Amino acid sequence: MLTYIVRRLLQMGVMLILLSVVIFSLIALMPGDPVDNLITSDPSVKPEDVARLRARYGLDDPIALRYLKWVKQVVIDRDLGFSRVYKQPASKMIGDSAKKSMQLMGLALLVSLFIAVPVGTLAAYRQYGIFDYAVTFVAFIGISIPAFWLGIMVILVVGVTLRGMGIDWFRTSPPPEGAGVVELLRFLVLPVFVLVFERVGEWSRYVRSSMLEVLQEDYIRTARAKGARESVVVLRHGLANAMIPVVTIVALSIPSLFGGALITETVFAWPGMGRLLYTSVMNNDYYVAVTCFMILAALTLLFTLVADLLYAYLDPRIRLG
Amino acid sequence: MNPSRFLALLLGLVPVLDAEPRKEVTILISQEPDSLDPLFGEMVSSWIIRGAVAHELTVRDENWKLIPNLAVEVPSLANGLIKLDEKGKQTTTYHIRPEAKWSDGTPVTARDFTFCWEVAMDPRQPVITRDVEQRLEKIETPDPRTLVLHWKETYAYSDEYRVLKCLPSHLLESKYKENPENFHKSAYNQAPVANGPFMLQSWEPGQRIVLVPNPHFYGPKPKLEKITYWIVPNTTAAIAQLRAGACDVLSTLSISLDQALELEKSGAGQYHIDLLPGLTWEHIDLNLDNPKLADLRVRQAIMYGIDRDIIAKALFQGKQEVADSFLPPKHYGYAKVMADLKQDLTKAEDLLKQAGYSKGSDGYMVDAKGERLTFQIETTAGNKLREQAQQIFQAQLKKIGIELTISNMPAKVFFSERLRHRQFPDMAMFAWTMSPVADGLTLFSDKFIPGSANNWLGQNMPGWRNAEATQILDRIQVTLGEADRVPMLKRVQELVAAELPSIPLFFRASVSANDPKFKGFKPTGNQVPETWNAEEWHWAE
Repeated sequence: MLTYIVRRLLQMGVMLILLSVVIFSLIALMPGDPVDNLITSDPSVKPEDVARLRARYGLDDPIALRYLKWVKQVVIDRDLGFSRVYKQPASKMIGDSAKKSMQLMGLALLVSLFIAVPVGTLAAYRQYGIFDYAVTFVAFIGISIPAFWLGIMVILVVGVTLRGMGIDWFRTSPPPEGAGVVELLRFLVLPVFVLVFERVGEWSRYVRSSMLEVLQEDYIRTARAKGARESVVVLRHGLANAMIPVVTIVALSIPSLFGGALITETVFAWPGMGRLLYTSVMNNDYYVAVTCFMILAALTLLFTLVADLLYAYLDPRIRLG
Repeated sequence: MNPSRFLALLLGLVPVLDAEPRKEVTILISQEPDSLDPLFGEMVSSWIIRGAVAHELTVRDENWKLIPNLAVEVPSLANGLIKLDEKGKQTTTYHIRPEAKWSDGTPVTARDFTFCWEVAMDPRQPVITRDVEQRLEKIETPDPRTLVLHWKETYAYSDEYRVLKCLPSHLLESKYKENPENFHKSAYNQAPVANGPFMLQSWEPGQRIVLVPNPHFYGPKPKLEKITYWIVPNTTAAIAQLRAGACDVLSTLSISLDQALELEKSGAGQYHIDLLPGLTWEHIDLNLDNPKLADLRVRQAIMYGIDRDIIAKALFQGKQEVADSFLPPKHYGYAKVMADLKQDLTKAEDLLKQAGYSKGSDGYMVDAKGERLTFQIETTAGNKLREQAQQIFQAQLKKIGIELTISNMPAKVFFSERLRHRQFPDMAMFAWTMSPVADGLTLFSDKFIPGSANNWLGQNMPGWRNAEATQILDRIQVTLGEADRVPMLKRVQELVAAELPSIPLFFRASVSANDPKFKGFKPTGNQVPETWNAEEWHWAE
C-alpha cells in the first residue's frame, strides 16, 4: 500500500508539472492581453505607454520564458503573484474566495448527503413503489432544471411572494461581514437550496442504484435467513456496502468545495472561487487565473487518490498496486 | 395628550406618523472596482465609487455644463485663468478651495496634485496613460492653494474633468519615496482617503462597498448616512433583487436598455427608470482596405439601404436615438449632418449600378465577373440587441441585392486582434465610448490607423485617409475656446457624413432604475459618474 501511495504521489507531481505547462500556455494564448484591453478602452494611450506596459508585464517575452519566470516566482520566491486587475496579492484574493466557496459548497455537500442517502436507500428498498417513482421524478427535475433559472425563481419567490405574505425568514442578499451565523444562514439557505436540488437528484440516484445491487446479494438473503432484523439487514449489511461507490463519488466532489459553483455564485452574488476564476480569465488576470486552476488541479488529483485509497480501505476485495 | 395622537396610538399609526425619511441607500452595481487609486483604477465602477469619495478640480453636471468642484472656478480665457503668452505658451491656473480637506482634516493642497503628477510620470508606475501629464512642462505652486500648469504646447482641454488628479501627499509621499517600485501595490488601492462628500467605511471583496459621510467635506453635509454599493454581476439577478426589495437603485453600470424597458413595462410605475442619451456610440466600421468598400458608392448604397429608425422603434421602442453624427446630440460641437441619409432603396440600387454591379437572377447584385456582392458583418456574440440589429440589416440589404452574412464571436476574441489589428474583412459593429469633449481625433485622423508601425494604436478601424479631416483634427487640439472649435468640428462631421467610413447607428442610452421615493439621483449620461452629486441624494419624506 505504501509503495502504491508513493508511486501515485510521484505520478501526481509529474501530472501537476505537465498541467502547469498546459494551463499556463492556454491562458497565455487566450485572445487579448491586459494591454490590449487598455488600448481598446482608452484612446489616449500612446505607443510609448503600450511599450512600457508590455515590458512591465513581460507580454513580449516568449511563453516559455514567461512560464519559467512564473515557476521561479512560485517555487523559489514563494510568491503566487499580484492581481494585475485588483491590485492585491493573488493569495489574498484566492484565500477570501475559497473561504466563501467552502462555506457555501460545504453546507451544500452536507445537506445533499443528509438527504440523498436516506432518500436513495428508501427508494431502493421500496423499488417501483410510489416513493421510488416520486424520488425519480424529483431527481430528474433537479438534474434538468438550470441552476440559473432556479436561482432567479428562488430570489423572486422569497423576496416578492413570501415577503408579500409577511414571511421574512430568509434574505436574498449576503449579510455584511460580522453579521453572525444566523444572518449568514438566512442567506445561504437560498443558494444551498439551488445546489442541493440539483445534487440530491444525482446522488440519490447513485445511492438507489448501488443499494439495488447490494440488496440482490447472497449475504443479504443469508442475513435475513439468519433472522436479523430488517433494519440491521438494510442498514448494516446493505447500506454499508452500497455506500462504497458513493463515498468515492463524494470524495471526488471535495475539490468543488474549493472550485465553487460559478452560476449559483453569480446569481446570488456570492464572491466564491467560481466567480473569481471566471472574472480572472475574462480580465486576463494571469496570476490569479493560473493559480486558481493549479490549485483546483492539485486538489482533483489528490482527492482522486483519496477516493482510490478509501475504496480499497472500505472494500477488502480491492487490491491496489 | 393631543386627541389625534391618542387616536393614532390606538390605531397603531404612531410609527407611521413618526416615520423619518430613510438615511441609507443600497445601490446594485454589476462590476467590482479594481482600484480606487486615481492613477491605477481602470474600471468604470472604480470611477463611480471615486465620484463620491474624491472630487476632481472640475466636473460636468447633468446638463453637461463644466462646473468647479475642488477648484474655486473653471479656468477660461475669459476669466484670465487660461493664458497664452507672447510666445504662444499656454498656462492654466487653478485655485483650490480653501475649505477643501481630506477626511483626516488635512487641507487639500497644491502639493497633492504635483505629487500625483510626479508619481504618474514615474516610469516605474504601471499608470495606464500619461496623455495629459506628458503635455505638461512644469507645474508651479506660488502658494499652497494655487496650481499654474505650464503646457508644452497649446492644449484645448486644460479645463476638462480629470485633467489633473490628486493624492494625499501627507500620507503617501513618504511611502512612495521608501519603496517606489511597489507603490502601485499599496493598500491605498483598496482604502483611499476621501476629499469628497463620502468616505470609505468598508470594502468586502466581491460583495459590497460601504460609504459614510466625510466629516470634513467642503460642501453641504450629505443627506444620507450610508451608501452601500452591492456588487451583483448578473443583470437578471439584479432585476430580481430590485423586485425583491433587496436594493433601492440599479446603478448606471448594471442593466441594459432592453432590461430597463421590460422593467418599465412590468413594473407598472413601481420604479423610476432613467434613460439618458449617453456617450456610447454604436456604429458599423467599414474596412476601407476592402476594394469593394473602398468605393464610396458602395458605402453610400449600404447607408441608403438600411433604415435605422425602424430598428430604433423595433428594438428600443424609440427610446434610443438614432445617431446622426459621431458626436452625441448634447456635445457642444454636434451637427446633425446625417439626418438626410434616410433609407432610399432606389438611390441605393442606382449607386450600386454606377459602381458596376447588376442584379442577378437570384436578386443579389453581381459584379462584372459574376461574383455576388457579399459582406460579412461581425460583432460580439451573445449581445442580443446587436444580433437582432444584424438580422434586420441583413433583411434590409437583401432588398437592394447585398448579401450580408453574420459572423459573431466572444467579446474577448472580437476586441483583441480581430478588431485591434483590423482583421475583420468587411464590417464590424461595436461601440466606442466618447467623452463630452470628444473631437474624433483617434477615430478619424489618418495618424490613428492601427498598424504595426504605431503599435496598433488608434481607433480609425476603417483605415480612413482624408487629409483635410486630419489637418482639422490636429488644429482642434490646439484651439482654445469651444466656440472656435465648433465650426471645425462641424466640418469634420460633414466630411465623415460625405465619405462614410463608419455608419453611425445609435447613442446607447445610459440606463438606471430607482425607487421613485429616492431623490437627487441624477446620472449625467456623460463620463462623469452617477455619484457626482452624492451629497444631494436623499429619500423623500
